[in-house]
Amino acid sequence: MRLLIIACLAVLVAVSLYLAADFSRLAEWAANAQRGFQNQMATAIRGLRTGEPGAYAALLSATLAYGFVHALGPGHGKYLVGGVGLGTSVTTRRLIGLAISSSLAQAIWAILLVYGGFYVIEVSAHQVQAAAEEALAPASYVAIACIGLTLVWRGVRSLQNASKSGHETVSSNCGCHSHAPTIDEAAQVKSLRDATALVLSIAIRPCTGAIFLLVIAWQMDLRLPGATAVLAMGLGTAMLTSLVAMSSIAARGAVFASTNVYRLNFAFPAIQICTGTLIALTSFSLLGLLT
Amino acid sequence: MRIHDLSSSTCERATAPLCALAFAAALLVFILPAQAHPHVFVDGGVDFVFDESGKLDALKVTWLYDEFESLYILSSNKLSLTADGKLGEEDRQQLIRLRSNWPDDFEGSAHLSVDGAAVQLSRPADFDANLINGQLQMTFTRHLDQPVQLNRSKAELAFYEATYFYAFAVTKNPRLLGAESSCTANVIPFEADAQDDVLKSALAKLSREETPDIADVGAFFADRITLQCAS
Repeated sequence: MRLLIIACLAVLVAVSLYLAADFSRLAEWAANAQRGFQNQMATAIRGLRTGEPGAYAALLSATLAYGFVHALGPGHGKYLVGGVGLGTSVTTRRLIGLAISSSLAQAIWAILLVYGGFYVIEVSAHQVQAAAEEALAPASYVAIACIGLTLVWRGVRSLQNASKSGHETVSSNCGCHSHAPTIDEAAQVKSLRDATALVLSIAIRPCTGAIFLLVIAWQMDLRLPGATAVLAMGLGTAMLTSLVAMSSIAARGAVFASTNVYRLNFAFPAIQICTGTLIALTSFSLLGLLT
Repeated sequence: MRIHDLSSSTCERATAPLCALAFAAALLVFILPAQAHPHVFVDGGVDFVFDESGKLDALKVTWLYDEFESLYILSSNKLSLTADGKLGEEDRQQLIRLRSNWPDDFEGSAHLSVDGAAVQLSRPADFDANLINGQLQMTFTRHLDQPVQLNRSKAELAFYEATYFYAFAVTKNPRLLGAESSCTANVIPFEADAQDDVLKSALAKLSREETPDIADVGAFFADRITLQCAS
């Protein structure tokens, strides 16, 4: 199992370094792939309209593929998931669970927004799409920035504890006086509150591809297929974000494989502060606050 | 979960270099470009219309939208397909009416120049729309304010939208319509160089609602059609 993960990692690293060496090529490839899958979605939708057999399956597979490739673009919280994987002690299983929950929650929110908007208050397609871009995207960036700053804060607290107390505060089991949160505890993403914050901060911004598909499905009277297709799209984005989760956690492991336990007092909080800052800075940049 | 448990995670000492690379790759999530611009890809082309005296009189422009975009255009205008997947005549006429109103600040896709000097084009007229194999095709005419006798002048048509929200591409061979003319048209597709990639990366970071700072940025990526006449 471990070998398989390492092998997957090696491929992922090689491919991403190759593609990322020239960012515009990667972006161009992603845009072309998205375009291709979008048109497959359209063919499947027309097939559903005319009652062609296999159209529903074609739609689900096209949206799944589209979701995966689309997640390479903006949105879907890659930098938050990657940052949390790098800078906290979250387990792989938990982070993948969070990645999947965020993507599915994002898909469900898109369905509620579009179908709810059309049904309840008869908004126009343009209004939904503008609301997503102008209100919900910034809201997401602000929420993610807060999580980044929380990580920084926890890291700072850990550093203060590490330098204050005379002995190691790595473990909470030293059997003596009570501690402020240990590095261990501060670095976890275990509480329900943490998990909810992470999932919501990503999910609040619906995917534009999902919005378009739902607008089309609503008008073409294919509402249920449209909703399930958007959930398939969410699964696709979940797959990409899970890859990000796995690689960031594996990367984090490299730091600790070569660090002795004493230095962990400072190394771990330092990395937490660093990634928290990166998450916050990326959010500020996306909000247009940094020129 | 204890901190020291982390060292017994996937990456052990032997694979530390690989994991260091993974660390670097993981940091990419912070700097991968957004690629949110352009948002709509449109294929198409331009035909050149000559009057009886051999002057270039008008341009006939064709826009061909992607299948998904076509469905979205119909749906967001509250139009649908018939049971056999086609566009009904009433809906087609409604679509023509809705798409004929260009915003005041929208210049369109056709940018004509003769010997380097820009030629003024009128607002579009004679709109038509059809759904062909799931793709929405729109055609319209743009008259030249002043018809031009080309003689040996070189005319160039750059096919782009100024803000690069729309990425236009010439996929239809240009035709010469109207009176007999001794002109030839050639398509010069856009070819990227290093500077274009830098510009594209900068544009990629823009969201759907943002406009690029650079005026007429679409021109950098335009396909062009040259028109050369013998006399």
